[in-house]
Amino acid sequence: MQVSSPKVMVSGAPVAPFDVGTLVGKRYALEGLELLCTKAGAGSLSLGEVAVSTQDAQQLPSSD
Amino acid sequence: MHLPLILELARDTMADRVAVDDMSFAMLAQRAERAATIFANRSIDTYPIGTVVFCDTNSAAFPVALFGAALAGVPFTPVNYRLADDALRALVLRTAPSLVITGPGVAERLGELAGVEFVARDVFMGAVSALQDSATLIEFSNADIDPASPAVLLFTSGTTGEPKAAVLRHEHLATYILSTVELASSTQGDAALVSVPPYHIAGVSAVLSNTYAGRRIVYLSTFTPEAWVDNVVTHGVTHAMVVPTMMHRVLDELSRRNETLPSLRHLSYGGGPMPLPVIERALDMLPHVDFVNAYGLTETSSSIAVLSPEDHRAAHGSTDLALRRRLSSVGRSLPMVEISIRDENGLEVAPGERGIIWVSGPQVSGQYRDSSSSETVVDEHGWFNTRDAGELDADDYLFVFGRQDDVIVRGGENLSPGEIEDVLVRHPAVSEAVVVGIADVDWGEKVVAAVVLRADTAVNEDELRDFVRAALRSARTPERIQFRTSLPATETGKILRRTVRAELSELFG
Repeated sequence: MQVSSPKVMVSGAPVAPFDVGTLVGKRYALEGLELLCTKAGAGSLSLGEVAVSTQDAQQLPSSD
Repeated sequence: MHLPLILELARDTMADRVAVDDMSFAMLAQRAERAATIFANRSIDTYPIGTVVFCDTNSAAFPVALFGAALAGVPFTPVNYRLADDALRALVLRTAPSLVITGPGVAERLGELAGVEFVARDVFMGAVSALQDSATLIEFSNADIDPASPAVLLFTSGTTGEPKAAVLRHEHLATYILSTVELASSTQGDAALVSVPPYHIAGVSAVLSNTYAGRRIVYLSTFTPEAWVDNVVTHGVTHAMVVPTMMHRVLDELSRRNETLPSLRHLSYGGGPMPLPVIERALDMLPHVDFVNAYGLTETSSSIAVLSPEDHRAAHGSTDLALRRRLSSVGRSLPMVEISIRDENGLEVAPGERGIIWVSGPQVSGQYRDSSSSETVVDEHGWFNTRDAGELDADDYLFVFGRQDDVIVRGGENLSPGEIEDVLVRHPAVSEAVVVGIADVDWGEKVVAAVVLRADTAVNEDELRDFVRAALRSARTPERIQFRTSLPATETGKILRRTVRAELSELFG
């Protein structure tokens, strides 16, 4: 297998609908995959063409 | 998932917010990196440090040392600085090779210990401040921490024997925080008053959860009800956590001062059974406060079940007995936690039946460091036996009846000391009560009690026994009651039942 590297630097920008952004500290989940965003960015997460949605953390009262 | 990630995210999103004292999250992160560098480069008799021990009261040095040790990949062990010299010496020796951060006088009273190096808290914080940032600094960006490595070792209170060191791995503590707290979820200006000591699991989790939520910590190094109330008022404290004995003393202090704590919005309690009359009084006195009852163990990385503010309000005002009873429950399990009530043979019992509380979930460790403690507490499916007696109701609310070992077996019937104690403290003259079982030739065990009366009140043994008999059946009525001026307890208010049982055996056996 040949690996080619791009000769030209392409300026990357997220394309709709994957341009909603990814939020730091949010958890994202899809099909058993669970992610925690540790650096925010303009692109949205997707698995193939399927957007990975945020997992709404249950609002828990603080206990400590 | 590991502990440094919690501080890294707090620094990246809330750099300028105050973490503790005058230290922002950016500064806390910087100091943790420097502390990590100090720990990683230090050696004891040519061995790298195996444990960082914290033997001191609460202060800003605690989060710095906790996160520093985590970042350096060295287990962190807070120990009870108030233990007697021999007991403390024995604990510290078990941590060697170790660096022990201490308050004034501790190193002197313990003397030289093999493989142990003492550093005074002020010297440690001075060294952290003096360290120049350089290329050799351990930074979050190059932190390489195995989530399965031990992060915190906590000696369990040892009310039943030799203290055991519970092992909490990075993944246990980090999953607990990430699944129960939203990053930066607190409002700027919020402040949490932490009065539980550093060697209590709630002291450790308070650092982690308040950091992740972005809430300033105000430390109270030694609890007194006067100082607690003063701190809430002075610092505009919005959040606090207390153990049951603190709650009862705080309420007395508030009554005395006619103080209502307008800044306080959230008060959680746990660490032992809360007598019903005390929480009812708290709800009446502080109607603007959200109360949370939390149940958890050292071995489960803090809370596994919580009774929410909504549950408190619904139960408190209700005429429905089942709903009202929920005020004595610890609520429902956290989302990633499963709870199962099992009988003596490990078989699950039906809702409404009493048994032993088992728990599973990613925050549950249930492991101990010493190979000498051979008892297996986690089964092959990852379920941990809490050894607490309990019951789940039809809606999954959990009721805890205390340690299974404390359950009194009288003539084949299981009696919960907590239930009898709740009745005793309802008597207007009774301030505190403890009920234990002592050996009895006829019944196997018999019920006896020790009570502390309120100042300027009087009641005799027969009157008190009649009072219990009117509320419960006679099998649950203490055969004898001792009156005393105080009950033996640990620093965090856990009654030393073993001691009481021995004394009452002597007296009434």
